[in-house]
Amino acid sequence: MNADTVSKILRTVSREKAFYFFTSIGNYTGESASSLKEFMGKINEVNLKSLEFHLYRGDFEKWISEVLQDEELAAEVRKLQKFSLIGDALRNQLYVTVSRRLKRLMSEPSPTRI
Amino acid sequence: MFSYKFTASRSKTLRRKQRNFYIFPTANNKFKRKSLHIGKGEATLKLKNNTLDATDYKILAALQEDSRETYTSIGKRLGIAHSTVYDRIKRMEQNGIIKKYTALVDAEKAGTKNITAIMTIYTDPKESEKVAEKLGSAPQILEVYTSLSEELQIIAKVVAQNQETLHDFIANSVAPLLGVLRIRTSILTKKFKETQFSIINDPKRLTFIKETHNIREES
Repeated sequence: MNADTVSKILRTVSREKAFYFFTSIGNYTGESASSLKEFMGKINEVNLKSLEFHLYRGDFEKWISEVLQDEELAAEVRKLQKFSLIGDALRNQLYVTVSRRLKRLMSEPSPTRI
Repeated sequence: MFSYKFTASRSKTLRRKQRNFYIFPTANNKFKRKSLHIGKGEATLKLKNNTLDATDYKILAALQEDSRETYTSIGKRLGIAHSTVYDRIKRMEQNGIIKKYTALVDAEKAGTKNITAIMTIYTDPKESEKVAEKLGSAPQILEVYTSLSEELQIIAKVVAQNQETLHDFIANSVAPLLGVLRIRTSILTKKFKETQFSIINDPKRLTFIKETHNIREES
């Protein structure tokens, strides 16, 4: 993976493109994430209902794919839907998936990375 | 009293244009003198007396019941000349008391399948006004209010084609607004009543409230 791609995935996006955590249709929790690193942190903070709501609607994979443009992570998150995880098992699995990917990206040589 | 001028031809034209309308009442039933835009030109209208009298209120009440009622019919009911009705309505239009004439459409019967929801938006007090203004500019938002409560809230009525478009609108256009802390949304399922505020206190309504209150007290 080239340095530009890595820095693109790890960048902080604008407020308009951030991920906003909802617990159900129209019910915004007040939590948002503007980067993959922030997203990973929020996985451990937000209400479990919110994680379940977004995972099974495909919102996480959509944001990771369309905004962060990380197709590999989007595919991994999509796979989680098949396991029908709920509660803490879902939180843990999602966290492990994202943190593993983040670790890989961080270890990539990238002189332009902030 | 107002100074009146009657023009028969314009009266007929306006009568045809009558529709349901909104009234903008002001504190102490008074309205300020101001410059008004009429059509493409501009005219200044000054009232000799800056308060509405009982006849004006009766005319407004009649129009709120049926804004297509003719000046003649209103005049007969109130015992005044149709020209008087015309002049008073004209003045109230020019002063912005009668804001506009519009049609109340039953969306369900008209075949639209939109959903309506009420959003309660908790905001940072510093950004509250801006959030309300931005919401007001969105075509999906039908009404916006600020509320006095422990936390500063904005309450907005929103319409969307379905739950998905509602969620997309809130996630992409409301949540990202600076100062929005969290949002609670209730999708409305059944309408039991919808009416415009009547400027005339209807004694029957007051009686109804008293009776209801008494029943609750007794039980």
